Amino acid sequence: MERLSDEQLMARFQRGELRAFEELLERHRGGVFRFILRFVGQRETAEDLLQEVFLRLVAKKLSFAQRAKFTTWLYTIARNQCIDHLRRARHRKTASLDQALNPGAEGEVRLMDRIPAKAKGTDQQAHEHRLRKNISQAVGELSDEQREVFLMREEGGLAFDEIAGIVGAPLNTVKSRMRYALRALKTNLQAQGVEL
Amino acid sequence: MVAKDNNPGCEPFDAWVVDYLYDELSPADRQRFEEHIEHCSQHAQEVAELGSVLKVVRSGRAEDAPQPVIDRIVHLARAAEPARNRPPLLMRLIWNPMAAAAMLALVVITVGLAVQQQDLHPDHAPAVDQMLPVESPERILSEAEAAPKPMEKTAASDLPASKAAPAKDVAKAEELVAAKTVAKKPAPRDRRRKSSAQKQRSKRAKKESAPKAAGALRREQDESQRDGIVDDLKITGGGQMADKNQEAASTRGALGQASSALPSVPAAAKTGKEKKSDLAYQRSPQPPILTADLEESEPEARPAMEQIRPAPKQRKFSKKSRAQKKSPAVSRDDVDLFGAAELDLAGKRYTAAVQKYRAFLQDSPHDRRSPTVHYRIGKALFLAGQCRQAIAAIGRAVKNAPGHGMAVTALFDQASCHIKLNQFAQARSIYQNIESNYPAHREEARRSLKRIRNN
Repeated sequence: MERLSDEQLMARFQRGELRAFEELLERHRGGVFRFILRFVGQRETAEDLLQEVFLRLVAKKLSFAQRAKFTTWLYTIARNQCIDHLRRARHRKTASLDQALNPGAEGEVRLMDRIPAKAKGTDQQAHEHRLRKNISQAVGELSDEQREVFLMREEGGLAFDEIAGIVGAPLNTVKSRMRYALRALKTNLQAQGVEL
Repeated sequence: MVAKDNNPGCEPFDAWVVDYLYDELSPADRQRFEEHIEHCSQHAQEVAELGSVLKVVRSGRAEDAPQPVIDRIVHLARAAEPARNRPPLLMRLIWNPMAAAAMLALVVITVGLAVQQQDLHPDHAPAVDQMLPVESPERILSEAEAAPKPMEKTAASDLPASKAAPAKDVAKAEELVAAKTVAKKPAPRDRRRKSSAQKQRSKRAKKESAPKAAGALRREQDESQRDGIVDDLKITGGGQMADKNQEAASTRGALGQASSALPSVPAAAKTGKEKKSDLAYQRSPQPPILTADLEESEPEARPAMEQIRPAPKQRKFSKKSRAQKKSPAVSRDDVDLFGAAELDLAGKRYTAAVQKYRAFLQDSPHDRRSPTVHYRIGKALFLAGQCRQAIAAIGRAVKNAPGHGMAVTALFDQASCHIKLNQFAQARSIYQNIESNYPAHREEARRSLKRIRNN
């Protein structure tokens, strides 16, 4: 069967095909989830925001213009959700990041419980877990501007010009932010002892 | 270390580093950049280091959204996208080849039988009468004349919904007979329409003789049929309104005018708008229940249902109460009990959510989600405005699992409940508890304490 583009699926969903929405959800669940997770730094919050993003998509499906790119629209919604969340909980932000990285915290334990066990060795699992935590922390330490550009590119797969449109900055500025984000990540990861 | 950008002659290539890493340079530019980094150690080192950062970051990308969350989204999306999206019954029948073939066969057989009957009994009017459509004036007249009025009324009122189709015919026949005999009392079915029809009938009855009445009656019958169509439009109006809204919104979207989520909207201005859109989501046009019922009902039952339920005005569909707009409580069979309760909570059906959470606790008291469920009960009660019960539930939850991720939020909720109940001493005590036991939220607790210090 021919693979429909996101925009075609969205058009079908606008006409009422729920299956098209399910396909869109399946395609973008991982990217949007990781984008949110690394944006807000808390898994439970990320799950709630993921739900909010896709329900917003359902509610506002008719406002999607066919000429627009679906991912741009989707990540705009996701970004706005994240920004709103961070704005609401700005005074708790530091604590949230600490909480997510604290292995003894309740949320973190439940997090790992939820990750399906794969046929990997315990050492490898532990290494991957540790690496994910290191990356989360490193990303969390980026400035908001750098983080959103980095996440949209890496997790959303958006082109730089699309990101420029979303964040409302010139293309070269976006590329500069990306470059500085990568530099900062390198520094942050090395500070945590991650070998590059 | 990544080299600083202080090498003269290198600056033009700074902007290409990211493009090169993401392979977004044109072949010519890429070749130029590669030639450059052969001689420029700074950019070569930067490309290598940032490339390795990307590699490491991408290697940690194993996380995915948990399946229960995805299932919940699908459930909620289904609840938000009800049967309105199904095509109308006629379209469904047309698209279904079997149904279309059956319909065609039925039509052919009916027409064939009618022609055959006419050929066999050209003078036998009753046989032809029976083949006439339900709405034909001849049939209505004959039935009306044959049956006494009170009996018809009784029969119509006693009929069940699915069998009540003839009642409309009887009522119409009543009107026609009434017009024929210049009856003074209007039929009760639609007083507004009948009042004007009554005046016309009275005028006509005074002026016209009996032979002319048949023509007038036919005209009236036509009017009645036309009114019937108007009734249909009224009944399905909500759905059509929704469709029209959809079309209009699509047009707006195509014109790029409905772009609230598009990039040009500044994030700072978003909050208020998004709150509005949240409300809009609650208020999104839902298909009228009546339409859905009619679409699902048998075609022949449709007129009967129209008669039983008087056609409301269109705007009534768009002004449904909040209770009507809420999707029905999630069935226990749809998802597991916890999931169903979560859906109810997300759908603001707090009472149903609390019931399911409690049932879950009864069924699985030692489930690892039990502490969360205790907190969820407190949250649901708090959101439902049941302050006293919320205080008790949150107290139990915190006592059982004080280190839970939801504990602080629950404590703030509990304090809010106390404030609502004018129990400021208790609220103060809770804020002090947060201040001393949850250092990350100390500032927030202090601010809350300040807010109530004068009470």
